[in-house]
Amino acid sequence: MRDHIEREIALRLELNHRVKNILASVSSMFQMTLRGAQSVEQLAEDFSARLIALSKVHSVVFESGGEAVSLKTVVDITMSPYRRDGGSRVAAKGPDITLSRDAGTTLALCIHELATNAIKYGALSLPDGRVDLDWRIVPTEDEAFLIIEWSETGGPPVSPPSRSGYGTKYMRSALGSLFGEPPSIVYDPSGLHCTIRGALSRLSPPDRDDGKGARP
Amino acid sequence: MTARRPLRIFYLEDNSLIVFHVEALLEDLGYVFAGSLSSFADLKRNFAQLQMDAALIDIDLADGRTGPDAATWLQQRGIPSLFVTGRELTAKANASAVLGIIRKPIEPEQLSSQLLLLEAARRS
Repeated sequence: MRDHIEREIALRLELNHRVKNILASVSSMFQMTLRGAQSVEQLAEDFSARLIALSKVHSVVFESGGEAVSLKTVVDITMSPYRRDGGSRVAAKGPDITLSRDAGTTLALCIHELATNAIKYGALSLPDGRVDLDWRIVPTEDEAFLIIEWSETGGPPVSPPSRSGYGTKYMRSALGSLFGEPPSIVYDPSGLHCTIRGALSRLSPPDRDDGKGARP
Repeated sequence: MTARRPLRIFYLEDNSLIVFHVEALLEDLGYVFAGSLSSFADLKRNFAQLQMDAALIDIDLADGRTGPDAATWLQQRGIPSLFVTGRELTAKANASAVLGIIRKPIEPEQLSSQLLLLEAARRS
């Protein structure tokens, strides 16, 4: 009986902590969206889209046990809204890789920003435009790297933006600290190209280093 | 902050949204953001390349509940820090490792007043 009560108390403390963490994430997301917003309408639209992206990745992490998630699942749930009208316009492929909760969440939010940008200004703003999202493992002498490439084609001519918005800033900050290096974003006139790179050891869940095919 | 070089503040935190926000808040307040890593193991591995005067530290990191150990480790190297956490009981139990505690979600006023403790530590 006492064990049961102690376990209950521990669970309640843990739940309280997790709720606070989520509230802190949402609060930070709101404050940063507010900084970049030009109007109340834009604030509402951008914030709710980001909140939905966060909520979806939370669900798939929860469904896969709470600590890890597959990259393919993260890509699928993040890109699903953009596949409904013309499934063939977004092609995603790569090996099965298991990411830690934080790496999975961060990548989902980065892919959400890339997708939103493509819909508003990039390849997905025109009927013939398309996005290729490929990932692979590249071994080096010391360790293996995950490389993710986002390539847009068939959209309007691309030119570098005059100022960087939430998406670019978030990707630089988040990938710089979690993945060890910021993404490379190339504003090629024929389409935006973004390369994300990170050491696999930093992206894998702490207890499972096997990563299901992650090691070549 | 007069003519002195602004304090360079490093952030040990595994939540990329919170890092993104704190980076902007620190710059608003005139501090230099000295980078962020998500685990105590990464901090130890990269410490030689980092340039920091002080640190903000979460309790739960990518390699477990290692925030208190990270704070003690930095303290031994002369780097003062603050906890930034929703885990107030653990933070209070390890209060001797830090100069103060910032609660999550972060309120900018609380962040700026706690940062003054780091400023004061540099002066002394």
